[in-house]
Amino acid sequence: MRPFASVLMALALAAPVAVQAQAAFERPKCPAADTTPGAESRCIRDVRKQWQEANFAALQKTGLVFKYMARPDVEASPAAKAVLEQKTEGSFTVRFSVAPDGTVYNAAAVDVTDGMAPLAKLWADTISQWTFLKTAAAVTDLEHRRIYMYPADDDGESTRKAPGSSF
Amino acid sequence: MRGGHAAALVAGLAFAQFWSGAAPAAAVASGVEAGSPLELTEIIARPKVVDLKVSPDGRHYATTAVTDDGRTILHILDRRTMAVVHSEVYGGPLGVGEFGWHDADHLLITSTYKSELAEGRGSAGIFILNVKTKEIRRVWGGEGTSDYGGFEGGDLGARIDDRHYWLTVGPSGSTYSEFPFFYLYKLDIFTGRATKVLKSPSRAASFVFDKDNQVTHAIGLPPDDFDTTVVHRRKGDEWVLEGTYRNAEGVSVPVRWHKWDTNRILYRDNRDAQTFGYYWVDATTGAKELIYREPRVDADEVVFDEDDVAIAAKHQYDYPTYVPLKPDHRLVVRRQRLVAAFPGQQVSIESSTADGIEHVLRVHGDREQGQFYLWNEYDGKIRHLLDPRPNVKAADMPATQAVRFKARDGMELVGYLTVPQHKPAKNLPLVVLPHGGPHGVRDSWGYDMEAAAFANAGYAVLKINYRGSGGYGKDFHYGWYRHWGLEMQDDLEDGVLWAAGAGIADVDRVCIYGASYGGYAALMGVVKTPDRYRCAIGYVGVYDLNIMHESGDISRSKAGRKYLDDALGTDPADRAARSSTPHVDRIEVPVFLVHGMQDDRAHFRHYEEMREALKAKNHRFETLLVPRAGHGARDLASVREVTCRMIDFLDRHIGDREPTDPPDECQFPGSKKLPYEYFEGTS
Repeated sequence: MRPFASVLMALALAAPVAVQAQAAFERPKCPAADTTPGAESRCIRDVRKQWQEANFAALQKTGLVFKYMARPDVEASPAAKAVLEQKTEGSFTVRFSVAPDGTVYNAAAVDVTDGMAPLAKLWADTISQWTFLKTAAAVTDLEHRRIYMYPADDDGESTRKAPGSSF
Repeated sequence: MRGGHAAALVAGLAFAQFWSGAAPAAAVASGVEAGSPLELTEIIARPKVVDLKVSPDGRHYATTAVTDDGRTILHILDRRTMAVVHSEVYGGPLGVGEFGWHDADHLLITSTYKSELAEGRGSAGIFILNVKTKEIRRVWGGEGTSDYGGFEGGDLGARIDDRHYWLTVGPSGSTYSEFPFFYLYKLDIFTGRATKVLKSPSRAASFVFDKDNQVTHAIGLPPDDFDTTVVHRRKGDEWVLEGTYRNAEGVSVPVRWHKWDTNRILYRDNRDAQTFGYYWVDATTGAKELIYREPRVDADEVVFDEDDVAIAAKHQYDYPTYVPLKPDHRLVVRRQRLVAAFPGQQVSIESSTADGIEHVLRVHGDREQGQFYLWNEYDGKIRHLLDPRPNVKAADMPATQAVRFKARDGMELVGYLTVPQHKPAKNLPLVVLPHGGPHGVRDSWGYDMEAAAFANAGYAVLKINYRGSGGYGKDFHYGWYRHWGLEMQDDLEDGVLWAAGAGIADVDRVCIYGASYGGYAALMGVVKTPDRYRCAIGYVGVYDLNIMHESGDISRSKAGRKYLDDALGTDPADRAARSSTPHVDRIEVPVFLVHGMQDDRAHFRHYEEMREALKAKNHRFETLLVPRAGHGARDLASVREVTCRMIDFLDRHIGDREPTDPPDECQFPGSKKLPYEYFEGTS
């Protein structure tokens, strides 16, 4: 790596995690809870899955390999915990880059919808802690997108594992 | 022969390795492979890792390991460094049993009684470990549950909410003369408060819960019959009998409720067919909708997706088989991509992070007891985590293939043939190894220490699911009660003829060996067809059906006595006719008897009377006793000496060695030598 790039990276690593301005959340269309039982929950689960698989596909294109994938510690962020407890619906994207040594830099939350900023910040902080195996060159502008939706009749079914399901 | 074991880059799943040094195994070739046999000590060594579970937040692993003295201990590992940050070791007879993550910070651990005689039933206590503070507290140890007037065993069941679990309580101890009623408690894992909810309506019952965690069904046994199933339904605060089923005629048992449809319940049923199938049953009308049945063998499991759509089924007619019911379903496709990375092996998900992204995989097969891997769905990579047996390479282990052959009456039988790695599979000395049980038990494809030890020593090993074995339908299982020593024995001989006919076995160098019922079959083999076998080894064996009828733990319960009448017959003369001890005069080959002196299943009298009969006949025999063993040796030193003596016996009678006096090289260093006897005899 050239010296100039190294300096930029060092600055980036030192920079605080950013959260960009907020926008209104446009909820994907799902059947109302009072139609077919469970239909809204299943729809929401499918939307989450689509977002998750898009994240997977984007990362896999880069060939990056996780060394350690940190998860957010919600208990350490009361503001983020409140967003989850209040079941605030919304979405955000964490944009980040990976240095050749496998560390994450320039993690920033973008496209943050109303009320999601504390959770977006927690995720940007968390992604800053991800580490990957060393790569030949930096990988820039990766995106991790997250969506939060809750069914009106949520009783935990949307996240419950199918009983008896093995593999 | 089944395929290779090396994980590979397949269909987008890349294989990466981080923490282990070497690749898990080399590919398996079909011919003879280079290398010399492994040391017996390496084959029988206990795995360093028994179980491995990732925490819900992915920060820790919890893993259990077995020490050389047989104690199970638990370690907590930091994911980032793989360093042990905490260990749990219990004193005395207690060992770590099951464990599971309650949440990211708390691990639930059960302890069980372990000894050289038996492994205790149920838990001897339930503990909760805080992995952050390392504080451990016992949350249940039988206190407050005096239904049995003493210290009691309990099984932790399903989670009810963030602090409660179901707890099924029954008498502790490895054996009891009558099946007990069970009590269902609601256990608060943080306070240890256990609230009794109900008593089972039948003995040894399990329970079914609906989506609101209310008990809806109990499945158990009557007091006097192993082979009857009783199903009760909960109606208000009462139990209503739903059905009493004689297992030989067919059973219908509820498994669980549908995830979404509160009127549908999953049943396992074989009333209308020979084998078990799975059905959705309308709880109102009773209408049944078949999901899956395999006509030749019981379905082991149906796999459902998140919406409770059946996407696949599993059975094991010969090899473990996964049958896609929805071949294009994303979960089926995902599984097929994953198993393609481990050709010829079985892959199971042992645990997952709460977000469903990372999974601990256990990969196992005929030559591999189980390697642990981490699969990260985000980056799509599988990485090797831990090798439970680092001194043994799977490629050096003998391979096992499933075989099918026809018995003399045309019935198709399934068996498993293990062959040496370092010899061509041609004209080999053969060990026929009938499983114990016999009824309801079967052999399956997979890792088998005993078969591996014999094959490693140069023998082909043939295990056969003879008639009377479990899994192949009601008639195959129950239809051969009272046929011990008859057609059940013929199936073993037909297996020998198949192996010889296929050119694998040398028909003049065949020995029969088995434990428990297998020991019965071994000695009956050399009584019934003295010219078929060159030697026999009985381990904790039954040699006289009349002794079995009156001695040992089975005969002490009402249900056990009924089983013995059903399985052995009620006529003492007929039982004697199908016993080996009364017919030692027919035995023409050397016999080796191995027995645990505390054996209460195949009572020690079987050994004593067979030995006396052989001695009275002045017949050549050898014996090895394990003073502190019950129905089979458990401690490593005894297992090693027993196995070593058996291999030595085989070597002298069907192996490549001259039949000299037995050498004395089987003692485990530092252990007390087991009592061994060599009686030369004249016949």
